[in-house]
Amino acid sequence: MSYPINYPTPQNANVQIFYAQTSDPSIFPSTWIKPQGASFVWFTLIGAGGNGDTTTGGGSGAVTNFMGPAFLIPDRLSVQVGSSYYGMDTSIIYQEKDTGGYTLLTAQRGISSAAGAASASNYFAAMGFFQSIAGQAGNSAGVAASSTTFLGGGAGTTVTANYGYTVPSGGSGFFQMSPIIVGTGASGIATGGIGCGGGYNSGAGGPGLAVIITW
Amino acid sequence: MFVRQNQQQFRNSNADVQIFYGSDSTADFTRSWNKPPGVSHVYMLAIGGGAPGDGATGGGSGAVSRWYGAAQNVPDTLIIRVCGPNNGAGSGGVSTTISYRNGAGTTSLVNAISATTFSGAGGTGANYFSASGFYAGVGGQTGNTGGQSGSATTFLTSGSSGSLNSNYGYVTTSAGVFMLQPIIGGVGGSASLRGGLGCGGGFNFGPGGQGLVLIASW
Repeated sequence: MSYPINYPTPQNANVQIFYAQTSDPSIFPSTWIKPQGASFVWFTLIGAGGNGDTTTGGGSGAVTNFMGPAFLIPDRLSVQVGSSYYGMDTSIIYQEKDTGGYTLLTAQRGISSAAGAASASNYFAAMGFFQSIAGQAGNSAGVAASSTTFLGGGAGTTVTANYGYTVPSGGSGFFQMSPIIVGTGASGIATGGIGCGGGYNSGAGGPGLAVIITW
Repeated sequence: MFVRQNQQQFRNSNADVQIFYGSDSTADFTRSWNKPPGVSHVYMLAIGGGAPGDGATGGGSGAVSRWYGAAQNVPDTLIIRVCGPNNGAGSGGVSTTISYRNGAGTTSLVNAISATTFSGAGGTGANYFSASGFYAGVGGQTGNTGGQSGSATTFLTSGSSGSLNSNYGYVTTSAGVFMLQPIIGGVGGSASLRGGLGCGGGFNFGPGGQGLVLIASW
């Protein structure tokens, strides 16, 4: 079957996207239920961006990816999507036996101008494939596109992101998944895109995100 | 030793899941895996055997290796060799391997080293076959003379002389266990008891658990 130019190609995968909530995610996490028939699972976690600290833009959050066989992953997982407001990382938690749960995967948030740090592979990830990439630090002046992550830090002036996307001085950041995944930090007092840093003048960092794909 | 479980165990999986357990009584056994027709992806998991306790320290746990890639890059038939229980008397200790029959011999494609002492088995690096997909290997956990805590890097726990606290809150003061559901994990043995699959035996010459190979395709 062919589709018109620029029409998104349909996927057979089950794609579930978890955005940050207005309530405290540590008390009201979202729940992921493994779809029937799934063979493999892909997780992409994005940590929240940091807030600007009045002199420097906020750092962007880390990105953590994991891919593993569905039959070795619990049928139900808790998803905590972090935000700078609640000061939490974005995490996948297995909560079957313990009320506190066990953190399987984490993408750390940016804290003020510091980028979210990459997390290490753990005992859960030992049966699959794990990667965690640190965010980009904020800047007091302009920010150039990062060579290692698609999430930009916040700035005092112009933000330049990957693929030629830019944010003018004083502008808000943004985030997109299509046609290609990328996010930009904010400038001035504005808010960063998902996972991206806020503007230097106390601009809020963007919230985190979790994407779980099964096929 | 035949494959004990098929994909029906995993009610949520459409994949063909074949599991090869190490023998209960022999040092290793060899079977073959035939690629199911029509599959596009293959995932392989190899677990090395655990080591026996040496009279003072619990045995180390085995290494874990996994590969994922396109089915077209995988031979139609693979030779599976799985480590048996290691009782420290010349039985066990061989690596768990997934191999390609190369003429009269075999060439190892994915290998998970079995522990033979209290030290955890070393992780295996990538090779020319793993370059055709995604590969990762991780070493086992070193045994302990007292209690043991869950490893930060592997789901297979070593043996000990006391209480074994594995990942996800699982605890034993007896024989080790291993499970695939609801989440993969193994616990070593305590005292003179055998470890779970891939896990170390108890300090008092408890045998190390045998290895395992799991191949899923879809």
